[in-house]
Amino acid sequence: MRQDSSKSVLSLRDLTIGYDGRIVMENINFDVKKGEIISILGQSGCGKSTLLKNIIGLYEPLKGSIEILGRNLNECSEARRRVMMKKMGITYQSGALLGSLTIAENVALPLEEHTRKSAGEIQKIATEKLTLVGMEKFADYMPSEISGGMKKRAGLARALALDPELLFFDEPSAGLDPISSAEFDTLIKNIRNKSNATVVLVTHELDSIFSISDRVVVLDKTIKTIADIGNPYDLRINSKSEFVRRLLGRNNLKRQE
Amino acid sequence: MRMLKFADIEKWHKTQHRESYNFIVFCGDVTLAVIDAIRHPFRIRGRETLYYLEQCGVCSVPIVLLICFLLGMILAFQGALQLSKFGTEIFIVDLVSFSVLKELGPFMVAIIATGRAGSAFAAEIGTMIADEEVNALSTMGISIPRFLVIPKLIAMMIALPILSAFGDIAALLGGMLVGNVMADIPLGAYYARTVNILDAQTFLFGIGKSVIFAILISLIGCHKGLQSTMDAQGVGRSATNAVVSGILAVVVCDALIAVIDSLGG
Repeated sequence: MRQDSSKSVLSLRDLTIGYDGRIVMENINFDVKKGEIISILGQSGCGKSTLLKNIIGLYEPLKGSIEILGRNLNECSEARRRVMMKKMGITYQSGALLGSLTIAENVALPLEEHTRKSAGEIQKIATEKLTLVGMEKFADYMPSEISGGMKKRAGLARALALDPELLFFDEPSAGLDPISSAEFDTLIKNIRNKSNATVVLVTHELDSIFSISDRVVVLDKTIKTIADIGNPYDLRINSKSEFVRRLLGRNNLKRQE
Repeated sequence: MRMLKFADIEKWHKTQHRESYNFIVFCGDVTLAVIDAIRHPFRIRGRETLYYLEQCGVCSVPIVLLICFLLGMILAFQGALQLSKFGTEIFIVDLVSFSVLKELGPFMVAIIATGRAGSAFAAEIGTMIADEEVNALSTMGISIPRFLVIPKLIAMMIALPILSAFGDIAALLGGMLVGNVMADIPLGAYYARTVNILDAQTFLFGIGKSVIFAILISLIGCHKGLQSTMDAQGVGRSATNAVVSGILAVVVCDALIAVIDSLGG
């Protein structure tokens, strides 16, 4: 674990989330330290993705505050928000690549929009990022010509284009076979180790959680809040919540020291 | 059959109110993006603009020419039937020329564009929403109106007036053919009268209207696309809504322009 415990890069305080006046989760409080990999786990439909969308500013919370790198995204001006967004990289479940652009153009897009680098420099950085995720041979392909796993990798390369301090993943293992899923987990861990970026994952894959997460936030839809938070191996045995012990106990991975 | 309750009317009213509010906010955002595009023209996505220009303009030319040619023929045919009773067949030229250039040419082209471009814009953006591409753009700090709407808006504002001009010519030729065949008006005489009665102002009036129609069709198409839900049905619904709302907006706008024009003499 390469975290700097003195710095909290993400803080959620008394957060209530939902939509159309319906509360999905409430009283959510946790901090994420710099360089940490934290997973958000819960049953289907418990509000994991909704929580992520609130954190990255796509939805506005019903109550409470979300501070990213010391600033509340929902209270920022549009200009400040754009600056903040440059420090965050988000990888979506489907990859969310723009269908009208090639893979290289997709990766180059944030650089074109937010930097004044020359076309040559942008192309060089895009190639570097694609190499990092093992997609350099597919630079000129269109998103429709590559597999789901490749789309996720290309999406990750795009998320890394601006060297973000915070990386968010929405269901990174969804739709992947076990081998590709394990490879993607390793890739996330390697990127964190190289860049010391903070990683927030929304997932229901226990293998991913146990193999790469420093901590896990377990959401429980019956109580509409956090059931427990901590190291997954510790929570599996010592959690005060039976729901958490049962949920994490389904995995029998052993702790690697 | 379920009775319509007051609550249903209230819900419908609230939905309409929210949609109108959203559309006004969207138009505001697009206006800001237009100002930004004028101040920084190099930031306009040129390749996308050319792509939409080809899709909405070049690819629409054959259907516009065919429909407008037939429209001119129909107008001349109906005119010939009535005017021949009074021996005033030459006024077929006036009927076709004025109605095509001032009203029916730009209007018919706008209807075709709503069916082709408006629905395509809504479906494309709706599919992008379903694939989370719009979310990705938003979280990359990229302005959605600047990235997705401005290229379509510019392409339509260029393509529609040109298509309207082509449509006008095709309709005039259709009228000329029927005038010659049915009403025995010599082609030379038909052409001479057309040139004599028409002026640049009449032509530009129709072309100006087509620019307004282009703005309406693009904005409605893109807005309906952005309102799409994240499923296949949502994409279909947004495309249908774009066509229905687009046609309604074009008709209402055309009527308003006609009233304002008549008031102005």
